[in-house]
Amino acid sequence: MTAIVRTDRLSKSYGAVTGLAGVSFACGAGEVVGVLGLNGAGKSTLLRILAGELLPSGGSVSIGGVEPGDDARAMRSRVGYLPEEPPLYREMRVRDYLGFVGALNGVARRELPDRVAVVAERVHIDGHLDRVVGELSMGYRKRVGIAQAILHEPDVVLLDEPVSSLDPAEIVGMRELVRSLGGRRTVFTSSHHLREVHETCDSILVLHEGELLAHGTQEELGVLAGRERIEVEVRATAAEAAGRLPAGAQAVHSADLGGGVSTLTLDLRGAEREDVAAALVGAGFGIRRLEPVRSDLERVFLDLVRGDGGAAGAGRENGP
Amino acid sequence: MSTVLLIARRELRAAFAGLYGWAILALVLMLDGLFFNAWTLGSQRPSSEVLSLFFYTNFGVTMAAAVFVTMRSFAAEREQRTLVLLLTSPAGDWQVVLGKYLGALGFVLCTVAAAVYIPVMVWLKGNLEWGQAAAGYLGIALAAAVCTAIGIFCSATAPNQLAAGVAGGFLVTLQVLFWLLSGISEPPLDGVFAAMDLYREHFEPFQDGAVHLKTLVYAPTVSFLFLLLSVRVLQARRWR
Repeated sequence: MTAIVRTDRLSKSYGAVTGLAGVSFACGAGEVVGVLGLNGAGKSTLLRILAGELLPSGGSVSIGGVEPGDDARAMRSRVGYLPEEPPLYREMRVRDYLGFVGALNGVARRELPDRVAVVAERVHIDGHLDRVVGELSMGYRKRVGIAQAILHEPDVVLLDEPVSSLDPAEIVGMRELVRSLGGRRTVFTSSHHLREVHETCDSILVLHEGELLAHGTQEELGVLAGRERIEVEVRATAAEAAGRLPAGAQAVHSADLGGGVSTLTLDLRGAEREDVAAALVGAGFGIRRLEPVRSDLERVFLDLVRGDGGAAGAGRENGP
Repeated sequence: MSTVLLIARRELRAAFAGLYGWAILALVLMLDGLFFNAWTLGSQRPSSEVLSLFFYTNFGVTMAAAVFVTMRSFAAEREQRTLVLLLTSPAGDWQVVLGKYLGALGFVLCTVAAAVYIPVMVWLKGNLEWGQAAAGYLGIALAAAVCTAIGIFCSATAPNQLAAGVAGGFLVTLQVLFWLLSGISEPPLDGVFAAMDLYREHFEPFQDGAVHLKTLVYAPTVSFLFLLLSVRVLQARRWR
């Protein structure tokens, strides 16, 4: 993987308070990366450092191989950033605002009108270009915020809580928009909404108290959290089958289907699928089906931040 | 330079886009008019004295306008969370500070230009000395440059607009009270304080038509110093 964003032992302190502590990861071009964490985990701090708003206290960060110490302005020109509160001048019309931001980010004056029109269509604000920013709903303000972040065609787009303060319909629209930004550019999106991350992101960074707990796909994080979930359909009653499970396999749901057949959903913590199959077959129960169940991100996330998970960074190339 | 002008233009437009800028402009015109009416209309003063009095009052009003305009500059952007737009753009910190400074200074000079009807009245009804008028306006512009730079620094430093206004008002007032300090100080401090005084040492000769080279050096130097401090404040914010 060719990394476009790379951090190495990145740290940030606010006086005695630790914002980030030794965070190392690498992300490739075109990835949509979710940044998950509880309040105060360091999500916004990470995005603000990547955006160039803050400088790290230690370690290094690079965007496209450019570090802030080498050329901070060149690094910032490769990034588009939408903070949680969109940075909008409320007295300006949307068209003028986008024109200003585009020019500020180096878009040539003659290209600006076309660029604004294309981006406005992309984020579905083309019918609102002549409205005053302060009159827009929060959903449209967020869209204008995304428009300003992608107007100069940056390599990396950073979205801090893009769905906060949005109504359900706006959330669906924003989810599609964030998903569509990937592919051509690397997108980082932080969120408290696990479903947003689940549905929009290729990989996930899990931060907790400034430390990177995990980085990987949702499946990789599930393994990292020390838990695999499977579903078994077996020729036995649920009670009989549950009584024959090996150590390290725990039934979290079961149902008798009738005719001496039941299904069990099992959490595997230490036990392997083969152990389950051997135990049930050994007890004389025929297995009709055994398949993995995709991990629920919410459970995986909670397992990780509660300390049930494994070491940071497993599942992915991390750090230099 | 285009980035500086881009930011300056937006600042200037923003000042006129809301009620705030127009309120400052109206206040400046009202105060200039009131002082002119109270001190000169109906009196038998010579034109040069009338003009000198106008520049005297306009100096004070312009200083206040500079503080009121600049207190919003960085502080309002921080409160509205729009400063991040500038700080994460490829614009350098110097460009941001200079853009904001030129935008604010442009507005302050607009308020100065709005009161130009008073010298025009002197010209129409009296005997205007063009040299004195030019020197007076040059002095006003230099004083505005200094006070705007002080205000920009306070706005970059203070946590909110009110604190920026109070700090700016204090520092600008201090600039015209250095002569008091010089009066009670022993050499060589008295000379230092006198040289730092904005009104008596630097502006007063201009309102009477005399252009002093030391002021032409003093004003850009003090302005540069405060703008440099503002840049350092922005840079420190990235490290905080």
